[in-house]
Amino acid sequence: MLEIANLQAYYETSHILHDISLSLADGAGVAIVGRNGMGKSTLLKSVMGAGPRVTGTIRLDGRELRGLAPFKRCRMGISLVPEDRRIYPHLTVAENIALAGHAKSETGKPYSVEEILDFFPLLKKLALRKGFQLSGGEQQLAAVARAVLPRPRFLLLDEPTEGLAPLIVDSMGEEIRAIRHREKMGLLLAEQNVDFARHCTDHLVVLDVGRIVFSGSWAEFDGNPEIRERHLSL
Amino acid sequence: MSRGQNTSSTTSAANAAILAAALVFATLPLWADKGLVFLAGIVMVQIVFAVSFNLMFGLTGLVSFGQAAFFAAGAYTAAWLGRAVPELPFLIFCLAGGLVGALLALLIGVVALRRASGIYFAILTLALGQLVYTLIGKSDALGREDGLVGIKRPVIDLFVGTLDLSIGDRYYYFLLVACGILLGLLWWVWHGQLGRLLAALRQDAERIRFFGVNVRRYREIAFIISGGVTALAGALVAPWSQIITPAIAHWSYSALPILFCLLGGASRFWGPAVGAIVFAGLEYATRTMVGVSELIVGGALLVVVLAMPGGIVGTLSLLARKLTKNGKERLNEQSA
Repeated sequence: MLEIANLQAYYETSHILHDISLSLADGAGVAIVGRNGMGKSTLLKSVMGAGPRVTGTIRLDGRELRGLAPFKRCRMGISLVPEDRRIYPHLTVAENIALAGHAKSETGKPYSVEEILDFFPLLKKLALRKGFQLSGGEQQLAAVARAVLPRPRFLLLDEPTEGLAPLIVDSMGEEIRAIRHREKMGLLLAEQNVDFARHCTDHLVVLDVGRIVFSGSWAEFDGNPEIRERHLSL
Repeated sequence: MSRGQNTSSTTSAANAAILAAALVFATLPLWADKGLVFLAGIVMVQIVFAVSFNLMFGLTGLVSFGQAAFFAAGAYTAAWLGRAVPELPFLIFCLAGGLVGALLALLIGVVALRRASGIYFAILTLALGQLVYTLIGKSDALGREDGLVGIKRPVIDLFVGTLDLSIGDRYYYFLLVACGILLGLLWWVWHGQLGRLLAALRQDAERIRFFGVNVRRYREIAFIISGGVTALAGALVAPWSQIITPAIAHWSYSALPILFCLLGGASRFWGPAVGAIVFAGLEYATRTMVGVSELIVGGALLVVVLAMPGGIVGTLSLLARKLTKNGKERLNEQSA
């Protein structure tokens, strides 16, 4: 269980997130939807402890994460794929994935690289390709695969579909959904692509200027078209 | 940094150069005068000093401006112990020197690594290094500003018999072996698992944080190894120069390994070694030109830093890569 309560986040003196409360059961999928600059990335980084100054509580199974270094949160089972992917250009896909298995983990034995490649069939053909030889989409897929390897309890993805070809987006959606259900891995997904987000998650929250303006299931979201109108359309 | 087959010739050229340099150092007492032999001994120690510093600088990406503090800690510990308890074996003094250096690195690291980013770390290490300099200069037991003089070259016990290192060039050969062992150790760290982790940390600390790596601890470990080996180099130099003064703790002495790294190339293991040798060569060649010497050395440094961003070794390997590439293309054209 990942619980975020009364979270405020700041960069320097700018107040970015206002009073965010959100909880994710094990294996649950929640999308954070909103336009650019509304605080989606900041929310994920706050959970990881990577950047913004934060007040409020962030608990994993009742244990307070706030104040813990990012590497400790990672060991406890939070995996973040940042927007810029950060694949090692001179290592192969398999090596990039294997790297994430070196850290200590409190969530059990990491998956083997072979298992991970089975999760992402597209990567299987690319296993021996070096990072710099990959397209943006393939890099993104490799970054997601790398984040899954240590068997996280909650996977945090920051706009994984941004700038990717539709074909890759579709297959990535399938794979993430399958892993979530089969491995009971929680997913917190910051995304602007509503269709992709709908495919991967059951619930969503809509952020507008740092505040949650809607929280509910996708069916409820569809039942309130004015939300989409007011907070998501440009 | 791809290591394809086409770079094997450059690798063997580099190995040949290393071997040649080792051979020159090993045979030096046979053909060079005493002054040059003394200088070569100092250069060997400075190579260890610079390569161990580069573990922090080139590999881990942290600029420490207080490395001389560790060098002095090792030198003073060994020299002081040699006076206080002369009956103990010399190797114990060396190890104690290294240990004190490592402990000092641990202490300075705990404070300075709180701010590992750029200028903060540089200034904190500079300040703490100057603190060590001041403490040595004010300590009666360490000879205040005059330092410790008349440090004896030791007699070491080799189980099968004793070896008096004060005779002839014996201490030079002892230095050669000891520096070789220390460089071997550093080479192993640099190219092993720890070295790769430190390189990954330099490239992107955030990324490996997200993999669950305790970045602060590994920076601390790198600092301790770097400080410890630098202190061992300091411990070795004391009986060679037979006098040590607080000058070896001064910040200007901390600047030496930085210069060697920039001159030789910080991204390669042997870069600082090349830098130390070239620097000593420049100084030696211009030693009689009073006043002009510094100008020439400084000018040469300026040229290298501005014109060769990868240092001497970086530029050479770039050239070699271009040459082999051209050669290959020419071969292909001929066969086509």
